[in-house]
Order: sequence, then structure tokens, then C-alpha cells
Amino acid sequence: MTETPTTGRGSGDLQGQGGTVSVDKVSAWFVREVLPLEAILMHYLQHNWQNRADIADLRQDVYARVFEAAQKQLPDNAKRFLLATARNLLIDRVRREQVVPIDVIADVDSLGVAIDTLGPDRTVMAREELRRLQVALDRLPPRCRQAVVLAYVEGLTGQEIAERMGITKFTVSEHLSNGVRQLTDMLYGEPVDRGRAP
Amino acid sequence: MSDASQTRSAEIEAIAANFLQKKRFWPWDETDQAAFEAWLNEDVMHRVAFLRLEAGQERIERLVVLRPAAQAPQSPRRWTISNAFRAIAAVAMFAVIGLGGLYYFAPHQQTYSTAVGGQKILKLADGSRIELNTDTVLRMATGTRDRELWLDKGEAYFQVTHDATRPFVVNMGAHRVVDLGTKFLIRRNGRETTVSLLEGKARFDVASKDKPARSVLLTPGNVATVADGTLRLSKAPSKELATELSWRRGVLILNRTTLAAAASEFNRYNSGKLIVADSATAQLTMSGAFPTNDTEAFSDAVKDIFKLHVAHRGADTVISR
Repeated sequence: MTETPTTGRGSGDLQGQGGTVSVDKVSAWFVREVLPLEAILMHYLQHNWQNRADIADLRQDVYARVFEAAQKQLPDNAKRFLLATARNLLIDRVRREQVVPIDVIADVDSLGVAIDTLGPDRTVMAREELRRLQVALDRLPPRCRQAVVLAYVEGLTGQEIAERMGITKFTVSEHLSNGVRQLTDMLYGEPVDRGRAP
Repeated sequence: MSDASQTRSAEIEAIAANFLQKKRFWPWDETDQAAFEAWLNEDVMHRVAFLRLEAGQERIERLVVLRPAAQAPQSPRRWTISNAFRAIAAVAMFAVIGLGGLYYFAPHQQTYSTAVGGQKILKLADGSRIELNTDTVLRMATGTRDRELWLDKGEAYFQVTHDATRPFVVNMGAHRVVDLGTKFLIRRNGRETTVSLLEGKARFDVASKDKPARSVLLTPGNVATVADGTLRLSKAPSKELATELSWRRGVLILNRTTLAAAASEFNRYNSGKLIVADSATAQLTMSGAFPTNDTEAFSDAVKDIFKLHVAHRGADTVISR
């Protein structure tokens, strides 16, 4: 209960104020502490918000709020802070949209236990990670996968990929953009134990 | 209602992904950088979307790759091409000889080596540079289009001018490193082979008797060690890697190093060996920097610091309690 995330990105008090923690520092913290919690965040959002189409949007909003708040002061407990921010965001959404949700707000504290068992262990075995990447790659459309493999495995440049695959530079860019988006979703957003496939 | 914002979040992510791949895989100049920074600073939503994808990309890259090296797509064709080049090169050379045999043609491999305590710098025509450390044997293929080398023993530091059409491959026994635009250090020590990547990227193909070969994509700071078919990957701070390269300046840096390990480091460079006589002494640790060829400075230091006994036996130096 040490930190209470500020409600309402854009509610005035946060906008336009420079933080006291440098952007680089917050960025490093965000990548190191927050992103690995994405599976937990997604789990929380999916369980507390009915409209699946909103989830990606909510996730980005939560991240933006967390980032802004962290610029004022880095929270001690990233997980608690992230989930509290998510809860506040959902409350704001409910108010704004005048929708009566399900039991939106399971208490963050009561989530604690489940979260720990679900959470991405920071020391996930390299082998498990590798397997996930392989699975994620296999789920990409074939041409997209080919471009991604040429780029990241074979080390080719965009130009070389275009020549090798006989496609335009624009298409190569599209493939690489889509590839990194989908792989990031799968690597960060899905629980390590993929028992609950949709 | 929420459709509009949903589109917005996806739109931001698409722009972030486009910047990310452009930065990484295409020419990128100051104008691009300025546009990118302006976009990044415009909205914290932009920043988090980019950071997230960038971290994802880093994870993909770090995440090692992938399938066994042999299955890498398109590699068969690549081999065919390089074989074709070899054939053409051979035909060309016969033609030259036929024209009068004026040219003696170089053996297919050139061997470079250093003695204990020696160092050597090789500069290749393509701008690449290789520094050999003490007691090292390196062979290089000549007259081929591909740049292929064999590190038979010892240690070498490679600064490679990248050329995607001419792979730069270093073989260490059955393992090999394929440069993808890089500075890297390879050390062979008995059964153990260590590859440290300082800049750029390289692919490390690890061979194994009972398992198919595996490939690991190394990124800066990665240290990969193979011994007896097990691969260990770790990340070293750049300061530590700089220490690893101190031999290029003729300096050995000890950082809480045990006397046993320090002695074996010195012994790589000197024919007169340091011998640590008992196991209690061997466990002592010390820090400091010494010239690689000055075992005396080292033995004097440990004598003073730990009140040890130093004796000379022929060319060797024995350290004991």
C-alpha cells in the first residue's frame, strides 16, 4: 500500500509537468520491471473486462500511466503498482462509459497468490524461452516468418531481404513490423504456462 | 465507441514497429533520427509502445536461435553459390597457370601462429583485423570467396568488416562463429571454447555429438562457453569484456582472481612457469594489473601481500607458504 497510482492520465495534474526521474532511467525500469509482468497484466484485464477488443488499448493506457507516474518517482513494487494502475484505469473506464461491468475490481491484494503462480519467473529457463519463440515463429504467416528469419537469424538487411524474397521494400517493412508486433505479443503477453489457450 | 481508441492504440503500435524495423534494417540518417525522436517525445503512449516492441525485438535476438543450423532456410542454395564461385576461381587459376605458369599459387590455407608470449596482428584486404594472442594457431582459407578461418588453439580477437555476400566464418573444432558485422573474441582452452561478443552480432553454431547442432545469435555483452557439449550463455558488463581484452595492451588484469587462476593466466604467456605449491595458497585472491611477461612483478607482489615464500626452480617460480 505504499504507492497509490494517480488516477486519470490527462486529468490535468500530470500533463505538462516534467518528472524528476530521467526518461532513460524510467525506460530502463519499465523494460526491466514492468514488461515482464505483461502476462499478469493481460490476465487481470481479461478477467475483469468483458470486451476483448479493448484489451490491447487498455494495456497501452496502463503502460502510459505507469510510465508517467514513474517519471515522478519510481515505485518500489512494480507489480503492485502496475495492477493498481490497471484497476484505477478500469474504474475510470466504467465511470466514463457508464457501463455496469462485472465485478470489475477484484482486489489487487487478493490476486497476489494467483499472480505469483502465474507470473513469469525472471529466470525462465532459456530452453523454455526458446520453445516459446519457436512456437511464436511458427504462428506467423509464412512470408512474414521468412522475412523475420532472414532478418534476425541470417542477419540480412531490409534491402537484401527484398532481393532475396523478390518483394518490394515496402512489403519487407510490413512483414518485419507485423512480425515484431506479433512476436512481442506472444513473448510478453502470454503466460509462460500456456495451458489456457483461447 | 471504444473502436476509435482501439484503432488509435493499434495505429501507434504500427508506427512504433515501423520505426523500429527501419532503424534496425534500413539506412537511417539524421533526418530519420530527428523525425523518430520528435514522434517519441510527442506522447508517452508513443514511447511505451516503442519501448515495448524494442524490448520484444531484443528478446527475439537474445533468444537465441532457433532451429539447428543445418535447417536455416536457403542455406543449401548459399552453399551452391559459394561452391560455384570456388569452381570459377579454380578454373580462372588454371587459366592463369596455363598462360605461362608465372603465378605460383598460394596454398589453399595460410597458417599464422604465435609462440608463447607472442602476439600478432593480421590485417586482411577487406579491412578486417585479427589480433592473435599468445600461443595461438590460426589458419585461413585463401583463394576462396568466402572468408573461412580455423582457430586451432589459443585466443584471437576479430574485428570484421561485414559483407553479407561473403560470410566470415571462424571454425573452432566442430563449432563455428559466423560474423554478422562484429567484434568478437574467441578463446580455446583445452576442451572449453569461449566466444565473447563486443560489438555487432554473430551467430555461434554449436556442434554436439548426440544432439543436432544449435545456433545462438550473440549480441553485445554475450559470452558463450561450450565445454563437452554444454552451452552456457551469460551477459558480461562491457567493463568486464574490456578486461578480457587487456592482453592487447600486454596487460593482465586480475580482479579478485585466485592465485591458481592468475598463475595459469601468466603461464599462457611465459615459458618459465608459475607454480602454486599448495591448495591453501592457490585459494588466495588478489586484484591488480601486471605486464603479461612479468611474472616477477607478480610473485613479488604476492610475496609482500600474503607473506608467501617464493623460490626459483630452473626457469620456474614456485610460490608456497
